[in-house]
Amino acid sequence: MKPFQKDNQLNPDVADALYELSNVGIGKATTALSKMIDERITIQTPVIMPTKTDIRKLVKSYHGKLSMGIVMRLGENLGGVVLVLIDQKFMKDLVNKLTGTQYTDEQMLKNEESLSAIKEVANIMAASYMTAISSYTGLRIYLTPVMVGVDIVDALIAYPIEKMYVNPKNCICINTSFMVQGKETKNTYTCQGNIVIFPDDSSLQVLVDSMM
Amino acid sequence: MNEKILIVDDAKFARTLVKKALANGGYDNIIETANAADTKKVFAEEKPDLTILDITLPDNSDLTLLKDLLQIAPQAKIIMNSAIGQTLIIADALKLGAKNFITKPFEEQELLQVVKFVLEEPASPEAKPDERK
Repeated sequence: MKPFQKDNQLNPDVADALYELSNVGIGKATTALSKMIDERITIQTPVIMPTKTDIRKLVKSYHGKLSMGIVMRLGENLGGVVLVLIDQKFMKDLVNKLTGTQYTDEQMLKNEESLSAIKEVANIMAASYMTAISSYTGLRIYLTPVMVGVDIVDALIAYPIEKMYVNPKNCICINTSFMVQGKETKNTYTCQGNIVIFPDDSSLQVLVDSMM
Repeated sequence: MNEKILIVDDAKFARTLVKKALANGGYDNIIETANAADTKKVFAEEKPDLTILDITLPDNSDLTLLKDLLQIAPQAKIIMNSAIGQTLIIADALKLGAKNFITKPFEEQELLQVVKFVLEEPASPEAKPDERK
C-alpha cells in the first residue's frame, strides 16, 4: 500500500493506523514525563496532518512562535529525522521541577545541568514514542540526538530541512496538546506539542508496510 | 558498599539521577563516563563490578558498545539503562549478554533491586566471545 494517494492525500487506512500509533506513542511519552515530575498529565487526541504538503506551509499557524525544538536522527530499520517541538514554558517548568532550580529562559539554555535535563526529557519523550511504533511494527529504531534549541518554530523546522537535507514534503506531522495538573496546587495548564517525523524515502514505505 | 560501579551516560543529569539512587542504596564507589571511547578505556582499566550502560552516546547509537565491553570482559555484569524501551532491542541486549534492562525513567527502588540482584548473582561460566555475535 502506498502511503499517499494520487491527490497527495494520506491514504485513509494509513492515516487511521498512524492515528492509533500516535495515540499510544504520545500516551507512552506523557506517562514517562508524568513519572519524572510526579504530576498528572492528560493528553488530547492527536491530529495527523493528512497531506503531502510542505511542512513549512502546514505549520504556518505557528509562524513566529517561540518554541523548544529537539532534533534526533533515526537509525536501524527506520532511517530519517525526528523533530520534537514543545512549548518553551512547559519545558522550563519541567526543567525547574527536575533540577529544583528556578532558571530564567536564557539561563536554561546555557547551564550544563538544565541543558542536560532538557536533552534527557526529549530523549525519553521521543524514545517512548518510538517504543510505541516498534511495538506496532516490529521495527528496531535507534535515536541519536542532534540538536536542541529554543527558536521561532520556522527556524526550528528549517534545521532538519537545511542542515540534514530531509524532504519537507515527505513527513508525518502529529499535533497534540496535553494538560498538566499540579499534584498539590491542582492548577492546570495546557501545552502544545508537535512530533514531526521525516522518514527517508524508503523508510516511509517500510513504516507503512510494517503497519498494514 | 564497596562494589565499583561504572555509570555510562552522556547526559550529566541522567548520571546524577543514577548516582543519587545508588548513594541512597549505600553504593558510593562510583565512576562515570560520557562517551564510548572513554568507556572502553575506563572499563578495561578499572574493571568495574557492575556497569550501568546507556545506549545513545555521542559516539554510539546501538548495541555496539555493549558488544565491545563484553569482548573486553565476557563475564562483565552490565545493566542497560535507556529510554529505548523497545522489546526487540531489549531482547537483543539480553541475548548479547546484558544482565538486565532498565527503561528510563525508572523508580529508584526498581534500579536498586536490579543492581542488588545482578551484583549478588554468581558470575556465569566464561562465554566465548564468538557466541555473542
